[in-house]
Amino acid sequence: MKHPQREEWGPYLFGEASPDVRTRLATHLDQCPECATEIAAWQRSLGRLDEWRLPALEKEPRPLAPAVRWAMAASVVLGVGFGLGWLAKPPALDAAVLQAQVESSVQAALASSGRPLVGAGAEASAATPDPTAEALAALEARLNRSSEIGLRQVLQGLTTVLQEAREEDRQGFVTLLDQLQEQRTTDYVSLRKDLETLATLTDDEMRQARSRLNQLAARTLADNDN
Amino acid sequence: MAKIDFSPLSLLFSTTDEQAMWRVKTEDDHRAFAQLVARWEEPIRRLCARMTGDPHRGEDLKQEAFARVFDKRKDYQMTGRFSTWLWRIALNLCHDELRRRHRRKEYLVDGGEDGEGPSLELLAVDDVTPVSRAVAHEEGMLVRQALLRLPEIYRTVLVLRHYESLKISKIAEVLEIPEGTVNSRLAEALARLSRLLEPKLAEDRAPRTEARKPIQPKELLVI
Repeated sequence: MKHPQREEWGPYLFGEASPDVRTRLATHLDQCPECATEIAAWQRSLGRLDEWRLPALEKEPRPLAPAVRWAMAASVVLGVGFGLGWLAKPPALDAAVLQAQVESSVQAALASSGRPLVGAGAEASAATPDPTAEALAALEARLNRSSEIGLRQVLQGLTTVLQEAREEDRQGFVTLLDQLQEQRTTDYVSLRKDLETLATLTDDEMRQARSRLNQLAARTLADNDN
Repeated sequence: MAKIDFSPLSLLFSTTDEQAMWRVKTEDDHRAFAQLVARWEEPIRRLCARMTGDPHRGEDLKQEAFARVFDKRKDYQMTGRFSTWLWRIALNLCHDELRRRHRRKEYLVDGGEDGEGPSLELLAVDDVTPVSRAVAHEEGMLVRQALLRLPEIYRTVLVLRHYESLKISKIAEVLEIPEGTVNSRLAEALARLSRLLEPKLAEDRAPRTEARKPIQPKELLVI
């Protein structure tokens, strides 16, 4: 039996043989146990090559994109700013906490005076003014006043800031106007100088031209006389 | 295996290897060079590691290969594929490395498989470095040893075809040899590999394989 050329098996095993060559070689393998054994061994060896695995490439961490780095820097700065602002702010008046404290103190006072807070009849409370309700009303009024005062202070502060900003703008505007005026004056002066120079030069040129015309006229007359 | 997986969209908007290399050549464009390195470092590292049998040396040789690409950027010709040029550079570095090892006699040097004298290709088989001892227990050590026992010319075609999935025509282009020579080297490589990995088979078929005198190509790539 005629065996195929040995170099034909490489493309066959790696799937690069043309269809007709492939068919011919496959047919030969069916008919030739000797070649079939050898090519099967080659195929097994090829399959075993993948047992040797290389460690994966240790990639260095990619440097962050500039935009991400800027965003991180900005967030850090903003975070620090907010943190400082939070620490520096005046203590806020918490109405709910204050109300709870006052309520508890009032209740304690009532309990010590022997008057029950709960269980009092609705008629009695309608007929006689309830000290607790009065205290709460007074407290609400205080809270309203304090919130009003706070709001007023905030508005005053805001007004002051706005006025300062307006004043700064006005001063900047005045300065700009002054600068423009100075520039205009300078331009005017230089323009006038230029015009004067031009006028002088033009005057000289005209005189020269007149004298030349006179000379020409005199020569012409002399030529006519001759 | 070695194919770079680019999505069609990114491929549409990205520069080709040749365009990037042209920029490196004409403008010393470091960004384009970094692009080429990112695309090719893994295949080149694998190639060097397979050829030398040493993953760490493969990493070093990969660095050297890209350093050489940058050094020789002015020699690059746009007529050829960048990948062909790069494979050649890396293979030459591997060849130099194996030759240096042979000179230093760091590795076992004895009669070749076919009874020839000390062979350049018999390398890293019984190497005694701590790294190789540690690696010796890894799965696939037998395959690694068998592959390293192959003469360099046979190992090259097998590594390029099997591990790096280069077509036979491409291998012929890289090695600057006819396709028929690549085919015969592939066949010889597989025959030798089978004898190494299946000793029983080798004994049974010894008369037949001895009768076939393997081709010993002498050409080496020189850039």
